[in-house]
Amino acid sequence: MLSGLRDLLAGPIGQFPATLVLGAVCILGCLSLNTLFLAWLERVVSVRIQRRLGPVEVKPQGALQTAADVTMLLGRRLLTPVAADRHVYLAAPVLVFAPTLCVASLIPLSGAEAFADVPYGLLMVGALPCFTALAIIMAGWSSGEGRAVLGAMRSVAQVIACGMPVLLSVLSVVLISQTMNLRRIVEAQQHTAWYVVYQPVAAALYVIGIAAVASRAPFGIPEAGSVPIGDVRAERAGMRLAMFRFAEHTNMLVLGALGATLFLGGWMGPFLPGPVWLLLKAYAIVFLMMWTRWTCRRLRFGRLMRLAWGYLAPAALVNLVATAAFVSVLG
Amino acid sequence: MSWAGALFGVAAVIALIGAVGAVGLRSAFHNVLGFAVAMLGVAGVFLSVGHDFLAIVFVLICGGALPVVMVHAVLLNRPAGEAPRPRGRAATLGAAAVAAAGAVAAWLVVSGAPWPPAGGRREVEAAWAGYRFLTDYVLAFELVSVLIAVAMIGAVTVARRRRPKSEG
Amino acid sequence: MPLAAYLAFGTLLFGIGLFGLLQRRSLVSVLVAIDLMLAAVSVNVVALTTLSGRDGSLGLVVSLILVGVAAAETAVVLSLSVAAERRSRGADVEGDPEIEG
Repeated sequence: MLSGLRDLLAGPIGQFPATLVLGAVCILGCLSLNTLFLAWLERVVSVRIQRRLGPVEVKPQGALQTAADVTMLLGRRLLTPVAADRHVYLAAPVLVFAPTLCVASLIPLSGAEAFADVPYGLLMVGALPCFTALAIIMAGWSSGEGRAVLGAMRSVAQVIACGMPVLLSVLSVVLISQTMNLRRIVEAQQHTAWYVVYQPVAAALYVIGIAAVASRAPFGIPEAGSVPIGDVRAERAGMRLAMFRFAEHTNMLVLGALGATLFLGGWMGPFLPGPVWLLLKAYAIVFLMMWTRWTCRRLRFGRLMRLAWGYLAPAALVNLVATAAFVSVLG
Repeated sequence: MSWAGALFGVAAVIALIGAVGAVGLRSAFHNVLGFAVAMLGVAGVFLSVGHDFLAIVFVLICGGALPVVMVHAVLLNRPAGEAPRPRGRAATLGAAAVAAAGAVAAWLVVSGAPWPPAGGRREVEAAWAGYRFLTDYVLAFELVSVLIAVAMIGAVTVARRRRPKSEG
Repeated sequence: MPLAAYLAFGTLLFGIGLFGLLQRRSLVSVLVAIDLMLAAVSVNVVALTTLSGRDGSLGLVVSLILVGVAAAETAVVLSLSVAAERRSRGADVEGDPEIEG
């Protein structure tokens, strides 16, 4: 269906611009809708797990709470701190969000369609934590206040530390599939089993790692209210704050979709069309993350660093070496 | 104008704007951001030649990871919130003159050398480069690995907190 | 695009980096200028090996080695910054229990 739309657009403006426009519209639209749905899902999951009522004022039964929140955030007056570095301050929320969209364009939606079919797609995914880290530092530094800078550096330390096992486990998948092209990785899982069967350690490390990269609890130090170190988000009002929240949910979804592509077979499935299967699998991973958020206690920062560098990264390295040994022995 | 030519033009402009910001802006933080933009432009230039692997590596490392480390260095290097005293006008003009002379000299050397004529644009496979890393250039590869390991060990050693001589 | 355009771009970038190396005072700014020069050299080598009759993979090899060198020296600059900051301030802020969360 999407390629049909693209050919329709390609008539007036050419093949490549048609792909660009269609891709941008689709990704932005789908991600926005999904993020709104995720915000609602988060409330439902938290309410069920914690056995409480949650917000029920907005009819019907609090289902439109997300819409109410967004309206409130949009209506807030946008303040800029006096000591802020104005250009960096304004650019930072957008830049936190941008790499996620780039990665979203790489994920294959169905047999022949990904918005960007790049031979080294998986390598580009590795750029995501680096750019997000840079944007977070920009956001913290541009607020002009020491606590925000410290909060940003903590966030970045968390992203880098937990991005390590993610990248290493992704590398293990590359070793098995012999390609970095996301579409070919999904196709390779068609011939063999889903990679979660071959690489359970890598899959587990991946899910734990992306929970931390997306700053989800139990790694939620950046959004913890009782910590004296300031938070990057505290310096922003209204729509800019919404941008950060938006970015967090979207990040979670896109990384979940990536995990589904790498470990759960992507868009493959018997009856439903490809994108629907991909969404279902992505939401399974996202649900895992939500479940642990509302169940586990939040990790202290020192403990988080020790966990990441002391246990997760070595486990990922051992997994990588073992996979390399297996692949070279079995051919 | 082909797509590659247009991409080269746009990427070169972005890279030059970023580079001017990287050396011209006063705050070191802005220099690092300009550097990141310049590296994105350089990656675009590589893309226009057909080296997509190198482009992605440049985006990932030089445009992403290196600026993050540099920004950490900037944030730790800040002496009580004031920018270092900029150099005087004479020193800046002198630096510009030397830089221009150096660039002109480099241009004369590079453009004057007899390069064999182009055989059309070819796709360079990263797999072939990887193979050469492990066969022809294995010494360089291992030396770079040793360099990175030594740099990491040295960095940790230099930045390590000295234990106080007396406990308490 | 002709080879000369790429070489001109690379040389211009090298000149800008050289200017930054000579003019900037801050350690990180000098590092930025050095990395700009390394990137310019990469551009030149890649353009020369790809657009002329020589082997294109040599450009890739050299550029990857230069990226490794740039990463190593950035790590060293970070550690020097940390050491210099600690020396100039004298107080040890890291162990402050109020900051640990």
